Amino acid sequence: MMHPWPWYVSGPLIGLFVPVLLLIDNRSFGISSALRHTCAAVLPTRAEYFRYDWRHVGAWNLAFTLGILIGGAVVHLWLSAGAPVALSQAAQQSLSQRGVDTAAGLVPAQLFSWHALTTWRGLTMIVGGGFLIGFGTAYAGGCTSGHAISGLANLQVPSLIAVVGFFAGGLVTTWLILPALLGH
Amino acid sequence: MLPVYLALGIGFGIVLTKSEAVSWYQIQEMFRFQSVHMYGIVGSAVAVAALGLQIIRRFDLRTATGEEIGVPPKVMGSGVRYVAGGALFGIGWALTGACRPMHGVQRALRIGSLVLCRRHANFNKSPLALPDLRCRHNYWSLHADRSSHLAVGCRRHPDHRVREDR
Repeated sequence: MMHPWPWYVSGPLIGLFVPVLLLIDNRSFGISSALRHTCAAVLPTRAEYFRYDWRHVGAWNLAFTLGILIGGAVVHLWLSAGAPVALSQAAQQSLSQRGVDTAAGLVPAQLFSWHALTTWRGLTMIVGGGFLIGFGTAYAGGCTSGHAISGLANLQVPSLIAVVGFFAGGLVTTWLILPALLGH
Repeated sequence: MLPVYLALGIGFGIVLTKSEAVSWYQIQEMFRFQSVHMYGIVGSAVAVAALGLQIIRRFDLRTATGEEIGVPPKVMGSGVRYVAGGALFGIGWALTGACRPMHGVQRALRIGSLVLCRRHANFNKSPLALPDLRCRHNYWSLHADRSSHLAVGCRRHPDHRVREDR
């Protein structure tokens, strides 16, 4: 329990959430809509996009998302042996070559910290990256849970296109943009 | 009903975090094709989910309250929103290493370590703590620990070493 789980354990567990959520109350597994529900619940706006009964449609999603936050904290506080992420040799090498410390927990501290926000690079990566995630998710109508897992399991073509888009963007970034940002 | 979703969410958060799917490093590994980990997770998740859906359809299962189960198909339209939205998301994903739930998890992890001051050694130290290494030219190193700095070398002056008295 204290060590990281292999993919053939966590993958199937994640996959189980799709039918389980459907069986409970016909809920489609997807987390990114939580933002939309939050806005609908909280913002005093008259936009059509937010005019729906968020309590009915989305309250479950907000509870679920809150649970995710709690789950993450639970693992970090009690279920973690504190070891660095188990990376393959090749990955460790290529990241170290770019000056990224690979032993710093789940996320490299030098790229993601309050201090990093004061640098242009940090600002671009954190704020810019965050904005792109938020905007892209809302535009595409889903994130990895909604499209990659639920959508593909349901054999939906739009989800396949979205996943292709995810990968295109991610690959371009990893191979072209990140090297520029990390300075090598 | 809501507490059920909360519990499920907690379970999902635990699985995500234990599987390290919330790690920037794993995302990088995935995009460099250096490991099967993330692909394995998503692949097996899709397989299990698809299997679950097929079982639901075959046996015509109903929800706990007896309603029919049906997932409305996504509207294809011109496909632009999926490609464009997906690509934008993908860029942000590779940059930050986090999807939406993972953002939340990372935030939660950080708050956890700040407030309760546990497990400093292996997660972001207090974000206000700057790394403590300088090369001879007083150039702040980007590495959080000595050994990796030595391994890669001071970025500005590759032939110089870390000051040993620090």
